[in-house]
Amino acid sequence: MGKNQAMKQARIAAGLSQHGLAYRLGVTRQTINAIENGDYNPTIRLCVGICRVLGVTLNDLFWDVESQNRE
Amino acid sequence: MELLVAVLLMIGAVALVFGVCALCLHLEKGLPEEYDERQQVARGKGYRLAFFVGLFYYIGASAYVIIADAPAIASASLIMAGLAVMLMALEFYCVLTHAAVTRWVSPVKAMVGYFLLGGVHLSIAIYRLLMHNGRYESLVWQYAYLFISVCFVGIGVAHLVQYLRRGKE
Repeated sequence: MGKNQAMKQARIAAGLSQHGLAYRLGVTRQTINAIENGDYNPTIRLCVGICRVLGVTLNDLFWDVESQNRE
Repeated sequence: MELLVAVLLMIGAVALVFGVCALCLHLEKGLPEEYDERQQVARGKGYRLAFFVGLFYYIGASAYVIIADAPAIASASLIMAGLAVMLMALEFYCVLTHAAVTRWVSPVKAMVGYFLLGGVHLSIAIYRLLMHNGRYESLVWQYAYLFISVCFVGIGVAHLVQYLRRGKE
């Protein structure tokens, strides 16, 4: 699983730190870090929560266009 | 006199542990004690690791007891030490994966708790090693205490290292 650069960029664009996003989602900062680094595959519930906080859609953050093109 | 000191030491140790637990509970009052979803997954893996570590440990310990024809007291202390080994495996894994404490709990508190537990066991072990009467049965327990204290201090050190690493991020 590759790094989730889209999520990192969306978070920075929203003016949130990893800690700030984690606080608003009720998770640890390490969990946000793990998702951004591709070390953890979040549940759909957490994905929706992240999208709501960052004001983006699931497709924007979690639809892996590159791997789809490879297929 | 020695018995009185030993009893007082034991009462003091138990009171200290209960005091620390009560203080932790008081400080965490009103805070939800929930691990997030990644932590729950990590802790699940940690429990699995601890189970297999315990399994292999007890197989090895049983083999030792049978082959060496160790007395019952050695078996009992090996069982006690095994619990500490399993706890150590779980905590080490959870600390490494940032799943040891919820986001509401300070890692410093966990660290201090483990150092206190280790210190209590260590002081009991050292006191009893100094006072022991040279009997094998007595010595076995002292080493078990010593081993358990090392496990607790080890977990505390793991928390400390992770805490210091986190500070540099």
